[in-house]
Amino acid sequence: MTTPETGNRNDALPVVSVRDLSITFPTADGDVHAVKNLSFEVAQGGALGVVGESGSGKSVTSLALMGLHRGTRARISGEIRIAGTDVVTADDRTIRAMRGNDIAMVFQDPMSSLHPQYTIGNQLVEAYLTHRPGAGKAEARRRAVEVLDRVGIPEPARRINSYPHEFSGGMRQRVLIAMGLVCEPKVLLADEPTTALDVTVQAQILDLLDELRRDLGMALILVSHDLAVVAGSVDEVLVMRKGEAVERGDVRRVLGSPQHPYTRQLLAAVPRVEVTRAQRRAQLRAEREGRPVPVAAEPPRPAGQTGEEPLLVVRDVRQRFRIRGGLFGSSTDFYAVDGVSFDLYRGETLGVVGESGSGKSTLSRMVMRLLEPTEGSIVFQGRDITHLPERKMRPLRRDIQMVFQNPYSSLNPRMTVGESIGAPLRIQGERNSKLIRSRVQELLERVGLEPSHYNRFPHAFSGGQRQRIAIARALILRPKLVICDEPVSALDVSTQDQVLRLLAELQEDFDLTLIFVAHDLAVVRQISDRVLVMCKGKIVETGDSDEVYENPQHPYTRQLLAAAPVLDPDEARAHRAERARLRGGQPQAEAV
Amino acid sequence: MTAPLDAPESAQHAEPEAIARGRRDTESRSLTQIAWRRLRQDRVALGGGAFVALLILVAVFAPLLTAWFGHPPNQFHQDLIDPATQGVLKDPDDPWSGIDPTGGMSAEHLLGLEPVNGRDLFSRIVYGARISLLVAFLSTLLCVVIGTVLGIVAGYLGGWVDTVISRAMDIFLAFPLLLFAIALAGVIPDDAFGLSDNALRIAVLVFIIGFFSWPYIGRIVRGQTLSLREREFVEAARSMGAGTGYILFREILPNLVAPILVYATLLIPTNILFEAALSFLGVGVNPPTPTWGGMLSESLAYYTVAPHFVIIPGLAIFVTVLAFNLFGDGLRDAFDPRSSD
Repeated sequence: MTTPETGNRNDALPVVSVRDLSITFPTADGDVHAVKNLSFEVAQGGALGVVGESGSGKSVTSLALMGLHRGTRARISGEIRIAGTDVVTADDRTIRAMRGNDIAMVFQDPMSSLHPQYTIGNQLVEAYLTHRPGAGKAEARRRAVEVLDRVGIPEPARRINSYPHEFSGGMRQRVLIAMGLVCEPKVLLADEPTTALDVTVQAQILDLLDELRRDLGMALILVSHDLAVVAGSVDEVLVMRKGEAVERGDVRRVLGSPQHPYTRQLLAAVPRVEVTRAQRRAQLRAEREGRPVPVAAEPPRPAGQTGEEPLLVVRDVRQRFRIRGGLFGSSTDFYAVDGVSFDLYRGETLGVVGESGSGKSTLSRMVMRLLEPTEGSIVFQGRDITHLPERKMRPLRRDIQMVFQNPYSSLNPRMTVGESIGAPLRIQGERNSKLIRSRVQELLERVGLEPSHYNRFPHAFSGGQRQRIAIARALILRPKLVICDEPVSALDVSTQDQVLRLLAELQEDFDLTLIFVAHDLAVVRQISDRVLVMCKGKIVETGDSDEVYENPQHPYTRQLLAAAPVLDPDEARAHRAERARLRGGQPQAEAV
Repeated sequence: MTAPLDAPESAQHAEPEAIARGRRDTESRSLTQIAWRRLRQDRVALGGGAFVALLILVAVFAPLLTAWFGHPPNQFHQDLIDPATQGVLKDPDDPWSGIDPTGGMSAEHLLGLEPVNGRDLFSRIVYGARISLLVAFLSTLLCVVIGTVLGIVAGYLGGWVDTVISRAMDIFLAFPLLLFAIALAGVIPDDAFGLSDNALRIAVLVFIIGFFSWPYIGRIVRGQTLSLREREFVEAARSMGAGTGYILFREILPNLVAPILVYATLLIPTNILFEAALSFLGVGVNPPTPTWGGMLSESLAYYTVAPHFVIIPGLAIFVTVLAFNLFGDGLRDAFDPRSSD
């Protein structure tokens, strides 16, 4: 069953063929055309990447491929053929037989796609028996163990009896892939399979999908908002925008010489790990002033070598969380942050990189004094704020503000945007509503929104716009230090780029010192002067951002760098080989 | 979908920035406006709401309404009663004409007459609505105030405060309320706390119902607060230097208005039933003031001669409770579309 080469497959019949697909949703505000005249094919064993920002219709399309729009109010026209079945017109029984046997789907969120009350074994066996009614329980179980082993779950025969909550996010995504594989489908449809995962886990899942596709000769449709995610795993790319196909072609051609301006725009938005901070800064500055991009990058600014007093001094901070123990309530201690020290100078940007659980969010909440450090000290502008009571902390909050990760939950849905942005002023004792209003409108304009949006509620804005609002709120008190906790990780690549540009501009205009927390190395490199790499609550590497990226010392940093998605398909495959080599050096159990 | 699951419906279909930016301001709607728009499309809920509104009008304008028909609620019409059976006469001019099976319903007396002393049932139902609604609304208000304040404090502060309040809720819910109410009825003095007679009795009803039903609202508010507390906007408020009071009442409370409103609407019919039950047991206001529960209680002795006397107050309670429930359900669906489809 192995098909080692990916190149010419034109002789094979397409296993998926979509022609003139249009999907329309009637809503109270009129019809929404989610997909318009979309056509594409995927050959047997081929791989197609579907790329577009949210709202481009890519998820709607993948649901339609599975026949999941049946029974909803969506109107579908055109033709979808999957392994000979016409999904649009076939009866329900045929569709049920098609799902699982011909096409299987891997959903985005591994945390909510598995049933929490059943063991993964039960769920796999059920999936198998549904599609192979004649099969016996024992056979189904044997098959379940087999696929779990196939997707790299260690000790599958034992783990099959575990419940979903006993697995990490990456492992759950593997289980979901196993569930898709159990009936040996001809097509595996993965809708944003790695968006909820860390970079290193993302790399592992993508590697797994690539390997499975090659070994099982299955076709793969990989849906993502990030071109860099699909680059190394597909033969063909389909770029979608507002429900229409903008560009379609061989992955090397589309990424190498994009024809459509939108594709070029998407490509430009992808943060590249190989671009240094200085280059990026020069580029942004040039764009702002309308000059052509200078070839030579300006030298990086010296940080903290002028002998000035650091703005923030963090020494050996630790944060302990008590984990409640078993029956007799004996609790164990867990240090989320364990002995972290750093200095931060005025005007500098410090990047903090790490996977989820590395303690980077806890660290930022300690500096913000939303958490009181268990040990160590935090000195801000020469004043020890480690154990300052809330009452004395309040005036200092003017100088330290924070931009949160999730733009959907960081704005109060019941407050207008204007009220939200003005709230810090009001809390800090400003009573003049006219003054507050004018300051808010000024800032709205500064972050690229209409001042007349003052009375709108957050739900009327997109994720990127909400993040702009959150940034405006953090800036209204004219703080000296702004902590950005994963400010762009919930956003699409193109929106991400816009928000990063805004942050860079504002840093210059408002003379801000930034702590920038993220799991994406490329993003951090472009914005930071110095980088801290965190792992399990400790700093494993620190240094000038270019140094860390070009000459990583710690194996963990190297692993992170190898996992970062890159745009060049050939380089992506080289990275994949490098990852396989790095993985070979460590025991299986450490794979996440 | 790329949007997180807890985002409101509209966010899950968030457009790319360019489209959203081009939208006109007039299309901006608050969540309440969106809920109202959804509610307007729900005919069943609107029917319930219309009935509730009508009932409130009837209760408010009860004196006008009875004056219009010319029969005060406590006016006797003994000339229409058959002295032998105490039922309503078929022909008022003929004392031997027997009992009217409709209970004397006519253009003059829309819903007929009471047996024994012949009071006009329509007037008594209309006046009974006043007591029922007054007690139900006031006791629900009491529930909401106590439940919201204690629920939000317990949910946000957690720790021992939460433990104390949550245990208090358990105790209140386990309290043998009906027995307590009956016992209390026996010892209510004629006047106390500057109130007398019916005012005092109504106050006692409101107190009993409201003070012992707050844990229902309290638990809902506490649960919602627990999840709201983890949202980043609460942390954002803290990072601006907001105090506990500001966070509780300016940041969290506005997000609780919808669930509180919905559960209050669903609590009102429960309280109407409770009031009827207490009146039925004789704990309610003193006769001759009409209440639905009290009428139902009196009617049982005469169900053979005046079946309409049982049916009409029963029907009044039933329809009112149903209308409130339908309206409440519609309200819940309007505020939380995911619960319905």
